[in-house]
Amino acid sequence: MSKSSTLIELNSVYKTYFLGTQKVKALKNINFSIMHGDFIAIAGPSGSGKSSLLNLISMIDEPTNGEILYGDVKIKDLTDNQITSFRNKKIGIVFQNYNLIPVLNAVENVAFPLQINKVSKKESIERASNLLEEVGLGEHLNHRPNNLSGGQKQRVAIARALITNPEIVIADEPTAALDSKTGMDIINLMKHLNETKKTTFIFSSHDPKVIDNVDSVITLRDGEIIQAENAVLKSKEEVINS
Amino acid sequence: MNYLDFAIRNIRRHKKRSLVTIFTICLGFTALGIMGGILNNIFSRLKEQSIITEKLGHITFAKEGFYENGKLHPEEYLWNEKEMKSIISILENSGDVELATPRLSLFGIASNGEASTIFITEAIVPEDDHVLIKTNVDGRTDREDISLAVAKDKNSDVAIGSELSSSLKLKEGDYLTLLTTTKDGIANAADVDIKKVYNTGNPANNDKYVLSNFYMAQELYDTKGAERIVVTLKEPKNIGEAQVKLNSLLKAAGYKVESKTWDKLSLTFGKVKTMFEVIFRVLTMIITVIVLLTLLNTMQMAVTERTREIGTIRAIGVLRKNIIKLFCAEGIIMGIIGCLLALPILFLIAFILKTLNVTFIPPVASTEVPIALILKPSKIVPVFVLFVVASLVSAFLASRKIAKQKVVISLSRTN
Repeated sequence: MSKSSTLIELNSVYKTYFLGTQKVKALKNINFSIMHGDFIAIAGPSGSGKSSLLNLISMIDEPTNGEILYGDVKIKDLTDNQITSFRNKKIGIVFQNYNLIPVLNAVENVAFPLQINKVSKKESIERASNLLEEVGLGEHLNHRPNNLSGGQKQRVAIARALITNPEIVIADEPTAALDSKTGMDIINLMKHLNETKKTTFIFSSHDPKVIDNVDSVITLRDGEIIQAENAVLKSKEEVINS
Repeated sequence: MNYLDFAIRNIRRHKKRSLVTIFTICLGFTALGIMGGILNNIFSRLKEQSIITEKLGHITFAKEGFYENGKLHPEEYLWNEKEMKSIISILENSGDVELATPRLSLFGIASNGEASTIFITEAIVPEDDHVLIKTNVDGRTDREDISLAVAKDKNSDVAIGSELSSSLKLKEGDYLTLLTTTKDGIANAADVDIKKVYNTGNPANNDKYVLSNFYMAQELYDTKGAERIVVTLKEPKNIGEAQVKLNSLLKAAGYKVESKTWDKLSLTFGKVKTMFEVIFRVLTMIITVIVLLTLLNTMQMAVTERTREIGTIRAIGVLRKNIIKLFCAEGIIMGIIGCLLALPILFLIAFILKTLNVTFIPPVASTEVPIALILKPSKIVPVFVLFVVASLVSAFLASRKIAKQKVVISLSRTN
């Protein structure tokens, strides 16, 4: 896969919520493409729509209007089961609060997405162990989440997101719950994996230090893209033609 | 994904809550097990009372129409001596029958010379009754042989119900006059010797029952034959098949007969059994609903607490139906553990009751019998299945909403 090929396209995407009777426009007319191998940060203040955007890209939510294309696949044409399987195989998700499964240890957490996909226990544990070694947690394979530090938990979460060799890893504020040094370690780890495994990363952050360390930044405010550095934004004509 | 392993870990995660739930299931199962065990004991004792004490054996054969018209035209429904012996021979040679014995029943007035009251008598062949009394009923054969009082060589010996004895101020060794009619309706009487006063076990007839000698009853009734043939079977479990087979054999020999099994002839067994079965079913439903609601509450709490976790595993790729499977596995495991834990408790209670030998008087009986739990798969297995199904249903009800919930909404939940 070349870095120039398009992985995900968002065309005129809107997302509207209702808080009681109040209508909240979380995203307005979002148009951009994510290319294979991108390492993109979504920046913006709280309430700007970062999480809403990542939820749509990670297919755990659906747009009110507009279209999301994953390669040639229109997401809105898929059933819930198809979307779920698609997520399992193509997308890795890293949560702000790690969201590790407390009854599973580190290696079982990482192996979990493979086991959903009916990979044997032996193979999935072996692959998960290797991946945890790669992210520097070889000594903590059998530790339950409550025996890991924040940074270690997030490394486990990243390993879990990478275990199925997804085309893209989506991380919502992956450093928000960490101190600045650990946060930078996580970003550097993600960058390293991006460079070595060519995995596409897109993540949100409002930490200027993190933003300074990435190549492409899309800045949101009040649900709209107000700035894009090295990101592939789409013109109105491109959207209409697509 | 190993749902079983995952479910067990989640059950162990909230130990106290899971233990309370399992304990509730165990308690419910134990309660129904005790109730079912006691009912089995009551039914077994009533069965014994019918087969042995009421002398009904397993199957009774009579001339066709006897039960409908026999009281109006008794002479028409008597078998003569030749028929009686032939039928007994056919039944005994069938291979299924342990005992085939003729019977007569009479009724009339019993008098001590000063006062009188009504009596009913079942006339038995004493040597046959010694066999009947040893009939195995649910493993029990050891019981008092009342028929010893009715000797073959002294036809006038009888045993009478204890309340009949007290109402006529009679005791063992006294004599009693029985006034009845012959088969042709002519009055006839006999003086009999009271060899034994005993509790018939049935409050409905203890004040009027006379157990008499078949040959004396034949003389009183002026017949050489019998009105019924009572049989006991070698394999009572196959009573239905045996009844059909024996009916066919008699029909093939040219006899028009009707036959009834002991449970159809017993005046009380069927009604008492039906009543207790209804009570047991109602109780089962109530306890099952309690178990279901307890599990529903537990599962609902688990679902609420784990909403974000469910969102996470849905985001990772677990299908909706598999979320439901996961919770159902948890429910089923708790249901099975609760029921399995109850089994040794039930066996322990059964053992303690057997050891203590506490007695009680079952309904429609007048003699004390030991309180016991007879634990039969026929009562336990359906309750086991019902509880496991209730566990499954409660888990399903609790989890289906969360399984349908949008992933993003589940993930936004803050615990």
